[in-house]
Amino acid sequence: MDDPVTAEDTLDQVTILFCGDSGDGMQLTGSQLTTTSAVYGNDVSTLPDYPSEIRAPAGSLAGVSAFQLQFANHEIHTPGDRPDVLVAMNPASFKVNLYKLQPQGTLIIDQDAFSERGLAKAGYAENPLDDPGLASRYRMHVVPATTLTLTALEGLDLKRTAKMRCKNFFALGLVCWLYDRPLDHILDWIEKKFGRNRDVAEANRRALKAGYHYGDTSEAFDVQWQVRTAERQPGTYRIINGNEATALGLVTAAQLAHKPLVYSSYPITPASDVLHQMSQWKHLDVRTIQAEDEIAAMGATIGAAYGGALAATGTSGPGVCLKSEAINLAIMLELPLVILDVQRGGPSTGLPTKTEQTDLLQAMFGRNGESPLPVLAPASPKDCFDTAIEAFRIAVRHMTPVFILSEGFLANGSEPWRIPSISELEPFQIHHPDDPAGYQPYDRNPDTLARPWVLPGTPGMEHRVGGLEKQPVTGTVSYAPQDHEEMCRQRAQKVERIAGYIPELEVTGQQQGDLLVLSWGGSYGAAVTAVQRANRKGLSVGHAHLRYLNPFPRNLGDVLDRYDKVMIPELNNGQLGLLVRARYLRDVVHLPKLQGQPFSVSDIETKIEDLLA
Amino acid sequence: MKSDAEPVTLTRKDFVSAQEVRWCPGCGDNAILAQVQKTLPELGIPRENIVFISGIGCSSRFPYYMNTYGIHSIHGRAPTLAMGLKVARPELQVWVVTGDGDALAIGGNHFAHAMRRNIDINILLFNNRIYGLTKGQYSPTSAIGTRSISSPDGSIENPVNPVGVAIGSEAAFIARTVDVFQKHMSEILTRAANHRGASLVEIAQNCIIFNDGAWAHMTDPDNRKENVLYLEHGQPMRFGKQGEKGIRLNGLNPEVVLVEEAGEENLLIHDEKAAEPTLAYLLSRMGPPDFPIPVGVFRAIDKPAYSQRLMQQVHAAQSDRQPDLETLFRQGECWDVS
Amino acid sequence: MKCPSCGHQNLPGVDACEQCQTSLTQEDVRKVQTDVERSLMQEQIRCLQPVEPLTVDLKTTLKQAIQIMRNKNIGCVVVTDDAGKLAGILTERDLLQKVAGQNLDHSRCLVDDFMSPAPECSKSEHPLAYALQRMIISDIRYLPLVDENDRPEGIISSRDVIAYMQKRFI
Repeated sequence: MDDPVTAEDTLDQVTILFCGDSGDGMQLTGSQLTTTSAVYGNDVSTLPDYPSEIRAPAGSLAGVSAFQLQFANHEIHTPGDRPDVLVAMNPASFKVNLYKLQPQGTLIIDQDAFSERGLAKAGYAENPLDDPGLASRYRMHVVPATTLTLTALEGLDLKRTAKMRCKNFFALGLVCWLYDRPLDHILDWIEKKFGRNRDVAEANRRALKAGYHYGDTSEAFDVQWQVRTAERQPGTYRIINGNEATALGLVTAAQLAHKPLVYSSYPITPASDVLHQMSQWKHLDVRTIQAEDEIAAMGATIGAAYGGALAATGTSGPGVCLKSEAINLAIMLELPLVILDVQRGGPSTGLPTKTEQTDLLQAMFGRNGESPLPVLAPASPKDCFDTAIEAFRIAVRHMTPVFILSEGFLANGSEPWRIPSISELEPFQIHHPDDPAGYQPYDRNPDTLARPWVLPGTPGMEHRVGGLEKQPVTGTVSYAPQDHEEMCRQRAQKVERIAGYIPELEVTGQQQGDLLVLSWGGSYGAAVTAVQRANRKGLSVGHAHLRYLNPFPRNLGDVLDRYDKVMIPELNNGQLGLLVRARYLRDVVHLPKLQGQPFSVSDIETKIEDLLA
Repeated sequence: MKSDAEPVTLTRKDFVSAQEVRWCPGCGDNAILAQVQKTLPELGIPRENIVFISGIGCSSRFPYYMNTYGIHSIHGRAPTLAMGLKVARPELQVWVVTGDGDALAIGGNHFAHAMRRNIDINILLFNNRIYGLTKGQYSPTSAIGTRSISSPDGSIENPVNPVGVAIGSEAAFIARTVDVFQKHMSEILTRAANHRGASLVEIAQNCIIFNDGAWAHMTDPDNRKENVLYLEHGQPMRFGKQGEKGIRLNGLNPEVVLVEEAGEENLLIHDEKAAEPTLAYLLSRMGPPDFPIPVGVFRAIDKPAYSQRLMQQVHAAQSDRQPDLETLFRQGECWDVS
Repeated sequence: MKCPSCGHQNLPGVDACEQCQTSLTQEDVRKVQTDVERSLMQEQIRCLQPVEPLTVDLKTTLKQAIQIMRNKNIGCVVVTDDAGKLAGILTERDLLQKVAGQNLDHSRCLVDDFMSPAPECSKSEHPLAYALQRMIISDIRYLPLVDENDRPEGIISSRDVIAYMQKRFI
C-alpha cells in the first residue's frame, strides 16, 4: 500500500525507554524488543529499572517499572544516555521518567491511563497532558492504547482485566512499526509461550498487530525509521545478562576442570539470581548450599575447596563485610575459590537495587593483617562469563581465593552474546599430588609460589592446616618473627606474580597524548564510547580499561606515563584513583558518581572536554 | 559412617601426629585425645578418609595432634567448613571438634543448623563450662553466679545445656560422656561414628586451670555412682552405690525413687529410638542437686543425611537431563548470524 | 501461582512468570472485592465528618467533667496538656470502672488521675480501615484524631462508623 505521507529515514542508533506500572509488563515489552532487534541484526544494550517496591499499589509512584534499551547499526556499549523515545503507560511512570527524554524526543502516551483516578494516584492535581508547553518540547503522540487494545480483542472470551494486560503488546507493536522491526520473532514467541492458552495467544497477537497497524495507518505517525544491521561475527547468539553469564561461567569452569561445582550463598540483592540459576543445574553436578548466613556460605566454600571441588560463593557489599574473617582464613589456607561480589549502593543496607562500584577497597583491604588476593572485574554483561572462568583459572593455578567485582548494572543489564563452542575454551590443568615422598604442605611451586593442592582421601599425605601463622615450606604452626615476615612476603609475592600470567593492558584511541581515560567494571561502555566521540572531535584522548585490579597489568605504569593527564571515572569516591596514585606516585583526576546510576556517555564526554579546554 | 574401602588394620600409633601436645598437664583434653586415638583405628576406616575440623579454643588444638587430614579454622565456624566438605566429598568421615564457647556462643547459629540439616558429621563438644584459651571468662554453659575474670561479681546469665540445644535443633543423635570415663567414651565415640547424620557428643571436660572441679560430682570416684545415671536403651533407669535408686515418671515430671519401694517395673525405661525427643528432653534437664546427670546416648534415630538427600537430587537430575553445557548455553532464545 | 496469561505454574511470590515473563506483581496482591472493602481501604476517616472534640485540661475536676458529659450528652471528653496536645481521654467506661461505687469527692478529684492516658489516636487522612482496626484491637469506642502537632482536631466513635456504613451500603 503506497503511502506518500510515510517518509523513511535512517538512524544509527535509537534509545527507547518503556515505563509503566509494574503490572504493565514493561520488562516483557523491553526484552521482546531487545531480542527482536538483536535477531534483526542490531547491537543492543539494556538497562532494566525495577520498581523500588515490588508490591506497590497499582498506579503509584513507588510501583513504576521501566526498561531502557538502545539498538544500533554499529557496536554499542551502553543502553544509551537519554532516551529518544519515551513510552509511558500511566501517569506515575510519566511523572517519574519524563525528565529523561531528549528535547524534541518522541513521547508516546497511553491516553486512557490518564484518567482522574490514574492522575490522582500519581499525585497530579491537573492533567499534565493539557500543558501546551509539552507539545512544543516533545513530539507528542497521545494514543488511546487501552481502548484500541480492547477493541482489537472484541469477541475473545477473556475477562476485561486479562484483555487490558495485552496493552503492552499494543505498545510493542507500535514501536516495532516505528522502527520497521518485523513482528515474526515476537509472533513465534507468543505462539511458543501462550500456545496452550489459545485465547490469550490470540489476544496478544491481535494487540501486537493492532499497535503495528495503528502506526501504519495513523497519520500522527508520519515517519518510519530505519536502523540497519550491525556487523557481527558469525555464530549463534542469545541475549544474556551479567548474573546469567557469571553463573554459566562458573559452571563452565567446573566442567572444564572435570569437577563438581559447589556454590554456597545466602540470598542477597542483587546476587540471589545466581543461586537460583545454580540450583537448577544439578544435572551438571552443581551442588548448591543455601547457607544460614553469609559467614556459613563462605565457610562452606572453604570446606568444599579443601575437599577438591571448584567452590564459589556469591554476595553483595554487606555480605563481603560479614565474610571478611573467613576470607582471611582462605588466604591463610591458600585454597582456590571464587568470591563473587555483585556491588550495590552502600554503605550498610544502602540501595539494594541500585548500582555502584564501592567495594574495591574493601576487596583489597577489608581484612585484618596483610591479606592480599587477586581482584577481577567484568566490563560488560557478557564479559561476566569470561571473567568467571578466568577467576577460577587464577584461583587454581595460584592457589588463592579470587574476588570478582561485578555490579548491579551488569548483573541485570543484557546484551547479545556469541555462544562459544566448548572446544574453543581452554581446558583446566589441575594436579593433585599423591606421592608422599618429600611432600610438605607449604612447599611452593618456584614460578607461581602456589602450594600443592593435596586432597583429603589421598593416602599417606595426611597433614593439618589452619589460620595460625606457619613456618615456610613445612606449614607447621610458628610464631617466630622471621617466619611471619617470610610468609607475609611469600603471600604477597604470590599475588604479585599473577601479573606475569595475565594480558598486558591495551589502549584504544590515541596511544599517547593529552589525556588517558582509565576505567574499570561497568563503566567500560560509557568510557569507551566517550573516548570514541572525543577522538572524532579530534581530541587527543586514549582509553584503557582494567579487568584486573589486583595485581595490575604489568604495563600499566608505562601506559600512564604516555599521557599528560589521567582521568578515572568510577561510581565511588576515587577508590581506583587511590590505588593508582599510591602505586605509581602519579596524580589522577577523579570523576566520581554516586547516584545509584551508571555513567552516561555525556558524563564522561563533558569531563574530557573540561580537562582539555 | 562406614566406608566402602578395604578393611584396614590401623593402630593407635597411626593416629598420633608428630606435634608435641601443648595442653596443660591434667587437662581433660589429653584424656579425650587418648580415647579418640584408641577408638579410631577400630572403626575400620582408612586414615586418609578422616578429617578433623576445629574452631578456636583449647579444644580446637585437637586436629594438630591427630595424624589425619585436619583444619584448624575460625571461631565458631567449623560446622560450616564441615558442611561444604561433606557436600564436595560425601564419602569422607568428618569430625568437628568444638567447645562450649565455640559451639554455643559465637558458633550457636552454625551448630544449630548443622544438626537441623543432619549433616553427616560427628561433633565433639568439649564442655568445660569456661573459656580456657582466652584465660577464664565465663561461658554459655557456666552456672549462674560463676565468678570469673570477666564476671567478678558473678555471672548474671542463665546457662544452656548442649543436649537441650541439640534437641531444639532436631538432632538425631545426641550423647553425653565424660573425659575420664574411658571405656564409656570409647563406646559413645564408636556409636557416634557409626550413626549416619549429625552426631553430637557432649564431653564433660575438666579445665584444670580455670574451672577445676566443674564436673567433680560426676568424676569423683566416691560419688560417681550416686551422681551419674548411665543410660542404656531398653533398660530401666537405675543408679546409686548399689543401684538402689531409680527414675520414675510422675505425670510429666521425673522423680527419684527407691527401687524396692517403687518396684522396678514402674521405672522409666530408656528409649533412644523414640520418634519424639520428649524423653530425651526430660533427661537433659536432670542434674544436681535433685537428680543424677545422665550420660550415654539420649537419642539415636534414623534420618537421611543432608549430603545423601542432595546427592539423590543430583543423581535424579543427571538421569533426567543430559549433562550438556552446550544445551545450557542455549537456554532462552537463540538466533544465528551467518 | 498460576500465570493468568499462559497458565504456567510458578513458584509463589516470583515477580514474573518464568514461561512468558508476564508480570505477576499485581496478581498476588490481595484484590479489593466488594464495595465495602473498597470503601474501607480507600476512604479516609474524615468521610465520617468527625466532630470537634470537647476538651478539658488536666486540672479539670471530675465533677466538672461529668457535668459537661451530662449536659452535652456525650460519652467522653478529651484531655489536653498545657501545650494543647492530646494527653488522655475520659470515657463512660473510665467512670464506670474507676469512679462509680467509690467513695470519692468528685469536686476534689482531677481528670488527670482517672483518664486513660496516652490514648490511641489517628489522623483524619488515614483510611477507615485503620480506625476500625484500632478500635477492635485496643478495645475502644472513641478514637481521637490529632493534627501534625498532636493537637486533637476531631473525634470519632464506633457509632459514627456504624452510621456511615448504614448510610452508604444499606
